[in-house]
Parts: sequence; structure tokens; C-alpha cells
Amino acid sequence: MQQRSPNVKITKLTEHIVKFVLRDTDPSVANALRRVIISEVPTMAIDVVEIEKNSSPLHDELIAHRLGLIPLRSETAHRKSYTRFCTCDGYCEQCAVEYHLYVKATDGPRDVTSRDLQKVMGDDAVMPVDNSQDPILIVKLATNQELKLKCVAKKGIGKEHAKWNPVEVVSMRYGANIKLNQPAIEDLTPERRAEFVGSCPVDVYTLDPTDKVSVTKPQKCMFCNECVKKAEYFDPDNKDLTPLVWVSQKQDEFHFRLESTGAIPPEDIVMRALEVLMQKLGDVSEFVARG
Amino acid sequence: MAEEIAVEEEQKIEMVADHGPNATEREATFIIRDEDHTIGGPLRYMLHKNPATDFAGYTIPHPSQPKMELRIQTTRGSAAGVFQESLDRLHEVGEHILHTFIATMDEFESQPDLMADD
Repeated sequence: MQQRSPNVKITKLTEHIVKFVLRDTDPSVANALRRVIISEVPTMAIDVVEIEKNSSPLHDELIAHRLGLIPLRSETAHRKSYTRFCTCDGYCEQCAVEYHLYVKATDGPRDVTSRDLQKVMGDDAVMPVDNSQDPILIVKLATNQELKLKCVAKKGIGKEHAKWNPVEVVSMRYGANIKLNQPAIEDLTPERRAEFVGSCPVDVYTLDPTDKVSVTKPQKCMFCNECVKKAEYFDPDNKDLTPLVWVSQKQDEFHFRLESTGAIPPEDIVMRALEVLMQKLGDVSEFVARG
Repeated sequence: MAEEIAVEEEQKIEMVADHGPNATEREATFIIRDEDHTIGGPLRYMLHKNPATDFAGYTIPHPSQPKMELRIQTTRGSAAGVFQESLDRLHEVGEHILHTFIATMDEFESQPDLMADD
């Protein structure tokens, strides 16, 4: 069996975003990675809420829902146990993190934010993302309204509830094969060449000062085919049988773009996802071996 | 008084061999719990790459049920053997991608401008 060697190149890495290109592998493998990123990379999220006082404009379950959606720093999530499998009685430091929240708007209208969650038990690292720089709004209180609650965050995966999804977005698309028919382009006037280059909404092509057209950013191509349509417009009766440009998809090249919620650094999400994928294969493998 | 908690031993995979006089170890259906297209797709791909595979396909009988059925028929060798081999190869692919990703991380950190595409 011929085995290709997949290839990966990172093209962008910031605090929240990673972009990389995965080459020389099957779409099913690339898709498996995408699916695991969305639904099977474990994170921490609030899962149980006990409300003692709530005179806010929002009802109890709405606030509980919002609390669950707050992204929590989950770099250590993969080392924790799932509460349902933990050997403790109820929940403990190894499988959960508990917070208390009490806000009373005594000095006038006040916003209740993720900063108001006070950790009372569990891993110090598991706190709401962007706690002090850009707090997440939970509810707004008018004068003398109050909110008092306890909540417990647990480990989970996106498959069970989207709150445990570590990414805002993960996108995957094919790479582009773009080939210019240079002899045909030479036959175009400079004005038409400029029109052709301008037809691309993401500037895949450039026209240099000598009026030469070249493909400078094929990685930006999103297959809208505006350039192909423009070429057809130049030659509607199809007198020239060969087109100005050929645009096709590289079926073994995958451009990934991943935006993290902040719960886990984007590059770690990819690595965890690969580990989870191998773990799943291992789990199945164990059972096949037994017969 | 001690409470008894029943612990169910749930099988991850069940192999249903064919019945009948012509059944051999070369054909089998595997019923796999709690898995879906995430590994079904790549497994099917890897099985097809194996020249010994005569038939390979998977289905999810109903989306509400966490069950996947994988059918393998071979021209030589056991279905279970070919299944195991494909799992191992997929695992290798995963490992390779992980190591390559870590390597490109280091590469990117040392020369970020060279690799950027924006």
C-alpha cells in the first residue's frame, strides 16, 4: 500500500488565531481533524447553577444559560477527570471548579460581568477568559437589584453541548490551482488586463508596471470564478477555444483557519485534536485486538 | 447498608460474522459504539487503499443512535486483520501530522514573516 507523507505548514499564529496548510492527505482525514476540533476537544464550562437571589431583569435559567457560555481558561482541562467518572462523592478539585457570585447594585445601575465570578474551589488557572481586559457581560442590574448564585464548572466536549466547543470558528477549504494562459493574455490590451486583474475580489492577480499579469496570491482564492466569467465576457462567442485562465481545486491541499474562544491557545487546540483522534483510533483498536 | 450500583460492561465493538455455509473469516460487519463519520470516513479511505480489500463501507443506521456499522470483505486475509492494519496506519498518519505540526510551529516562531501568507 502506497502511503503518502502528509505535510503541514503554519502560515499565521496569533493569540487567538492559527492558520495552517495541510497537504498530501485525504479529505476524510482533514475533515476528521476539523470534526474533532469542533466536537471532541475537552474544555471547562459552567454546568450546574444554583441561584439564591435574582431580582435582575433576566430570569434564572437565562442567566444559567449565559453562565454556561462563558469561556473558561481550559489549558488544564485534558488532565482533569469527567465528574461522572470521578472517584469522589459529588465533585472535587480533580473534576470541577466552583464559583460564587454576589452582586447588589447599591450604588446605582451596575453591570454584572465575568469578573464578578469568585473562584472558591478548584484549579486556579480555570478562570473566565479575558477576565480583566474585556469582561463578559452577564446581566445589567438597576439600583438595588441583586444576583446571588453558586455555580460549578465541569469538563466536557462540544458534542454534548456547544458551550464546550474550544473554537469560535474552524474553517477548511481546498487550495487553488490557478494557471494563466500567458499567450492569450498577451493578446489583451492593457486596459483589459487591468479589468481582468480587477475582477478578483481578493486580489489573487497583480498587474505590474510592465502590464504583465501574474498570480501572486493563489492562497486567497475562494473559487468565486469571477476571473473565469470575466474571461468569458471578453470572448463571448468562444472564438478562442482555450480560456484565459484555469481555476481548479487541489483536492489534497487543505487550508485551515481556526479562531479560539480563548479557552485554549489555538495551536494547542490543533495538537489536542490530533491526540484525541489518535486516542479514538486506539480505543477501537484495543477492542479489535481482543477479537 | 451498601447500595448496589450496577456497572454495565458496554462493548465498544461487536463483530458480527456472516452466517451460512459460505461464511469465512474474510467477511464481517463490525458494530462500533459511540463513533461516527469522524473515524468512519478515514477508516473507509484507509481500507480502500489496501489491495486485499474487496469491499469496505460504513453506515450510521440512525443519527439518534450512537452506532456505526462497518462492513469489510477481503480477497485474502481476515476482515479483522485488515481492520486492525487500517487502524494502525491511520494512527501513524495522526502521529506524523502531530509531529509535523510541532515542527512547523518551531519553524514559524523563528521566522514568522517568511511563512505568512496575508
